[in-house]
Amino acid sequence: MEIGLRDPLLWVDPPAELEHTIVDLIAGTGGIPVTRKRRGFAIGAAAVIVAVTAGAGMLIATRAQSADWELTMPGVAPGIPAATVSGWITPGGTRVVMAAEGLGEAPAGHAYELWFSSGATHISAGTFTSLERPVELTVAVARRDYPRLWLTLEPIDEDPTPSRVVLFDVGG
Amino acid sequence: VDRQQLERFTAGDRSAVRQMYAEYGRAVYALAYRVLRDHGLAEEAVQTTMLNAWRNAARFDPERDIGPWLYTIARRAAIDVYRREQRHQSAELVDTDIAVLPNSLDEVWQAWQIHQALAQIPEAEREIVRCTHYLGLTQEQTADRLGIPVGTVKSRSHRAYRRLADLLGHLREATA
Repeated sequence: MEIGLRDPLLWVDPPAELEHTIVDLIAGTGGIPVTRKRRGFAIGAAAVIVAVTAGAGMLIATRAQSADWELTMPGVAPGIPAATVSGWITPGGTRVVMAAEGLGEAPAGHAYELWFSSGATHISAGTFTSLERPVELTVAVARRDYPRLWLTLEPIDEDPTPSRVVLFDVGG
Repeated sequence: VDRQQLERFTAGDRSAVRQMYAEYGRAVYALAYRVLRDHGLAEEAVQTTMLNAWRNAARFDPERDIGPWLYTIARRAAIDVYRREQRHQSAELVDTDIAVLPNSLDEVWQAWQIHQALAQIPEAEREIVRCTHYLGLTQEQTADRLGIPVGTVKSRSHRAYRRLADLLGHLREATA
């Protein structure tokens, strides 16, 4: 124990601002963990967020400022239209707007889920049930670090991992 | 962390997140830094750890000790960052800023447990341990630095050491 306590790495302190960053990352995201256990709630909340966002004109405001990056996501199968995703780098991560004309509502009991991935690490940007209008989501990571963007169709269950039903996939 | 705290954390309650970070943030950071040897990357690993913990908190059984669970997430996050940096093949990072992954992750686990033990003793006692063990100060120098009598340094040091011995006794048994 004496030796362990002398280890300088034991006494490395994180920067003071890291706490605020993390609190903002989590609490600022809206407090909606997108685990499948609460996916039903998350979907409801996401729908509210999208509706409020569109209603308040925030989406328009976001679009007015040119995106930091934009990409087109081709559908992975015939019949799936291409989607466009625009991203804005924010202090807490990334704000994305996704549009896919013609994809419409998710089948009953399912939801769409947008993922940012790096290798085997998958970060959900959120779930939503309709793509009839553009959706705006926030995620607490940067695309630079999670270059793969993909959209899955998820059954509403307790499984927090991505399903195998992939609709769009770029950067992998 | 009890069930109520965990539920508040899961719901993204600001004070609960702050409390979780207060209890584990330093240990997570130290673990990440031990693996990555880079402050920026360690920060990133801490953010990923806390984010992943939050995302999966609803599935965690609050009857269990959260420390080992969080340790697993933190170690995974740090290793993921390490591997990503390796893949980027940045000579500067690989050669100078990132040490090789520790040969034994037992070392990381042991350090994590010491961190947890330090987090459980009063701040005043922890400061004494920091001065006497890390900074290598004598009890007199510690008293000067902290502006307290030498007798107080001695008594706090004694109490701190007893608490740590109780909390970390299993490490001594394991290495004996």
